[in-house]
Amino acid sequence: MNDIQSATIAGKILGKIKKEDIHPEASWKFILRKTALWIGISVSGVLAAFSLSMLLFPFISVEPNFLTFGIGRLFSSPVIRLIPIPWIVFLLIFVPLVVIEFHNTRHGYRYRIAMVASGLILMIAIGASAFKLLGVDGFFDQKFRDSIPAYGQFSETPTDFWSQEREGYLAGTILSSEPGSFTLQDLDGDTVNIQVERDTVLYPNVNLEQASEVKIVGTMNEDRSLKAEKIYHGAPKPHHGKEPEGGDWDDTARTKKQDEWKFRDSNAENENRKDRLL
Amino acid sequence: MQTFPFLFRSTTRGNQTATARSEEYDMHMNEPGYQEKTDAEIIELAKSNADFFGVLMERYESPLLRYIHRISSFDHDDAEDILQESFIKAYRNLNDFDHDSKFSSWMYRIVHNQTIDNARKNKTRVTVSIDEHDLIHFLRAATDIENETARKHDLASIADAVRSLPETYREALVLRFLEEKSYEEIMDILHIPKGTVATLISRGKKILHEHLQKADVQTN
Repeated sequence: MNDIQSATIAGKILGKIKKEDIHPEASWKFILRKTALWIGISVSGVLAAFSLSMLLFPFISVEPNFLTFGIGRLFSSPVIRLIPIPWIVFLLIFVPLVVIEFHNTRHGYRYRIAMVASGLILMIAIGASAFKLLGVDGFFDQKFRDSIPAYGQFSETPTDFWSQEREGYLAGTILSSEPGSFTLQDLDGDTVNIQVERDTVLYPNVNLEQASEVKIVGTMNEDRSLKAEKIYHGAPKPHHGKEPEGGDWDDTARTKKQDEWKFRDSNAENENRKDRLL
Repeated sequence: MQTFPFLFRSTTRGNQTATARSEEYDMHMNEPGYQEKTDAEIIELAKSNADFFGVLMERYESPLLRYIHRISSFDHDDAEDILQESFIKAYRNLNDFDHDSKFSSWMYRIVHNQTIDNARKNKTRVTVSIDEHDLIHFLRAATDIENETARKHDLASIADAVRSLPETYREALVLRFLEEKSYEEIMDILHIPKGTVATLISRGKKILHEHLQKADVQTN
């Protein structure tokens, strides 16, 4: 291209700029856009962290071995039943959103998406941990359950889980005990007869005396009594509002952490306790 | 001292406003050392006086116009329209220019996007239209092929090999070996990470080698 041609193009453009009175857009508009983008990133990040904390809340709040209660019972497994679908959906919305928003920042394109995603997911995880430490997850979980009736249908609590009489998961307070069985007031306030046999496994700290709280995994008999296969110490907060002695299910979960996985079927103490009952 | 004939040309077209500003501009331009000013310095001046934007346009219009031709099959008039739209867009967004990047990279980015947009609107296939000189230069830089070897072969078949490269690889190779941009500049023009630029160039060269071998062109 020669100089005359080259000059003509620039001249035309400059002429058009002047004729149409074109001006650079004001700086504040760009600052506003950038600020809005970073606010969007922050809000999406916080919501992603909040969603993650709410998603993990049911799993973190329960006893460490809670998720093993349903082993061998796939569809009634707590892992399946505790999954809070709405928070998974929110997480699947906000995490990609924050990654895309970051990628659209001025220098976002300079980093690989995988690296950006990893870094942001780490930050979201840290944020979720902070929410957990501050108790934000538990606070809002209760708020949502109290104010949004449908919320509970999407995510079961351990209380819901331990109220599945037909599935063989029951918890409550022992009202009375006799050789080979005891009467349990479950979390709905109903009474159920529990049968204890020689092969019933008693986990640490289980006390089968009156007013003790227990969780039972077993099989429902036709006469609506429950044949206990495993008995655990403690019980979640009952549906009817009567809190078991010693605190709610959250507290139980915390105190139980020390006892988990220490059980041995041959534990002499457990055998003695069972002998006393049987 | 370089002169700016386009300004006088606009004067002869009877744009009085342009004439007045052109004289003012010419007066500025004749100040000693003015041409040594950096793009960033001129951008700051252009924010308050459009005449200074003319300096930037003159600096970059030729390479940008050539770039449009290299990445598209638009004719000269269409390429000029794209360039015009790109410069006006750049002028409007002058306050958004990031001084951490080069003005040339920013302009290439705008021109690249404008070319792709126009190609999509016109349903034109984005392809390369490289002249013989460029083609040989490109082959030498990208494949170490010798001038004589290239000339011995049908340049049209070699050009076909270049054209048949996937668009993403071709863009990176054109910027690297024809526009002679650094990896950082290509990163800022194509808006991809530097590592991806290196990958595109490396793989693009490999694919080009394969295409040339299929065309029976010996590469070193």
